[in-house]
Amino acid sequence: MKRRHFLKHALFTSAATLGAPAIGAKRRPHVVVVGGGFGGAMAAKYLRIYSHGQIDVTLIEKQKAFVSCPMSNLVLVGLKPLSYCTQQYDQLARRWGIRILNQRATKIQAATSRITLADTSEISYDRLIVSPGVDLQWDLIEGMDHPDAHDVVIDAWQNGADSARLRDQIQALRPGGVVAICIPLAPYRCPSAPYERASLIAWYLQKHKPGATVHVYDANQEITTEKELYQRFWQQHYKDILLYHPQNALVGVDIAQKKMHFEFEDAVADVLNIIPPMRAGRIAIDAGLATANEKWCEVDFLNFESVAKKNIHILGDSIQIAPLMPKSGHMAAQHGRTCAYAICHSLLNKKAAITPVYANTCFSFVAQTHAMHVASVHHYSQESKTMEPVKGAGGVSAAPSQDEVPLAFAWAEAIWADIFR
Amino acid sequence: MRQWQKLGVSLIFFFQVNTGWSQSTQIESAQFLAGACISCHTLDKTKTSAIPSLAGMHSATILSDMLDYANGKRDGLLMPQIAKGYTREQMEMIANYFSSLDAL
Repeated sequence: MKRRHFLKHALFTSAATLGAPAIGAKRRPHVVVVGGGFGGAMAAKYLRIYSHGQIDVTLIEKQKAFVSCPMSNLVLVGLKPLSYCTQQYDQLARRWGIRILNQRATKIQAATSRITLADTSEISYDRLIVSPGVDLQWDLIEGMDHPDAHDVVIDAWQNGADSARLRDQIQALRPGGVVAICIPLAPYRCPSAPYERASLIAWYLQKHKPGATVHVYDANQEITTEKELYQRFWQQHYKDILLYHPQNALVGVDIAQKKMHFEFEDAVADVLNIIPPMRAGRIAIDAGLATANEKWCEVDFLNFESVAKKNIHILGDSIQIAPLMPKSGHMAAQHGRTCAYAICHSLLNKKAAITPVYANTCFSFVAQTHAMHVASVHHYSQESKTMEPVKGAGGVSAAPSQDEVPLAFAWAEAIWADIFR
Repeated sequence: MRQWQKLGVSLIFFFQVNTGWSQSTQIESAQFLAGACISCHTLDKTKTSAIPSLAGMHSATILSDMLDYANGKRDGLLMPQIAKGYTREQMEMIANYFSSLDAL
């Protein structure tokens, strides 16, 4: 009954927005996209563009709205409202004829090319794109099974609404209070973001909370990206406010006492921003797509097809990255576009004329007035069958500057427009 | 209502038959290559942006700017790092694509 109801609804939608004559016409290929982040939403839109509307696209996304993680550190310190980072999915339906299902996908049935949704309805696909982001591995941190754990500890690493919750905690900090940020071992989503966050919180504390400090406990040997730039800026501007502790992997947390247990020491804080270890999104893990250490999904970089399952493509933070390819929103969007290009060729029986080349730029704010970037260009290597950074290209800012602040905003607004408009 | 249910049943059938598709859709290589630029250089010229839109710009201008960035003849915060990642042939495809777009 539910299933029939769903299909009825689906037909209404497609007849209304795609102008699809369902009966008698030749059936069009159907691609289902799970996850409407930078990767999935981009793939959905570009499948429609590159196919000139000849491929039907269904996007399954459990969140009602898209909230960008890039730029959300500005929300934490009150420099932007959450609405700045928010986009509505109905833009993709209205402008691009994409069918949006505001539901959670629960299971991939690769053998029958179907996907099951939370309401038990099923959708069949010709190609499936899985872009589920990351699964936060809270079970690897002792004490996070406490019933109040997620009221006390906020990661703000995948859910936009959490940025507002963490902002409220920081704003309520007592004079002389302590904010702790725990960073997991790389690879994790968005290499620069924990250090950007630490910088911006230090900027905020300096301005609004005299005597307060931010402590960064990093499981890594050292700052994982733009190390010299961060070190120099912190030394010059946040010397007694931002305290960096490398090689400190969090092993447990005492929720009642707000105490963190590291391998060799304990520490307490008023605000616990724990970013846990992560792996590919749960639905990809459950479907057996995480072929690298059961953590990340290996793909063919020409079309992002899983090395394990035919006709299933994986994008973004869930993949086993190519050399020096960051897990970033910008990169996920390029995956999405590349995957859409390849799937269009495959489903429409065409041969792609060129191999992919794309750039990545991650801007980071170190203060309200100063931003910097790391950039790279990646191209496909026929010899190594993977994406490689182009030698001689890419690099980092000479120093954080005021000049890069408007560029950072221009980047964000352009890539959101590229995905949604 | 019953009619829609019938159509729904037909749709199940349609979704299960997997035949080959023959379409005459053109998928532009240059559009794909230039796609990477659009993530920063918005196509929307109605909005002011610190990163200029390239839509409708002369191809010769885009190409000479890209070459100057790549050859170190022109300074910039980002573009010298990006331009060095592209071949002249790729730059030409990108420049021609953007110049072919109508300036909105």
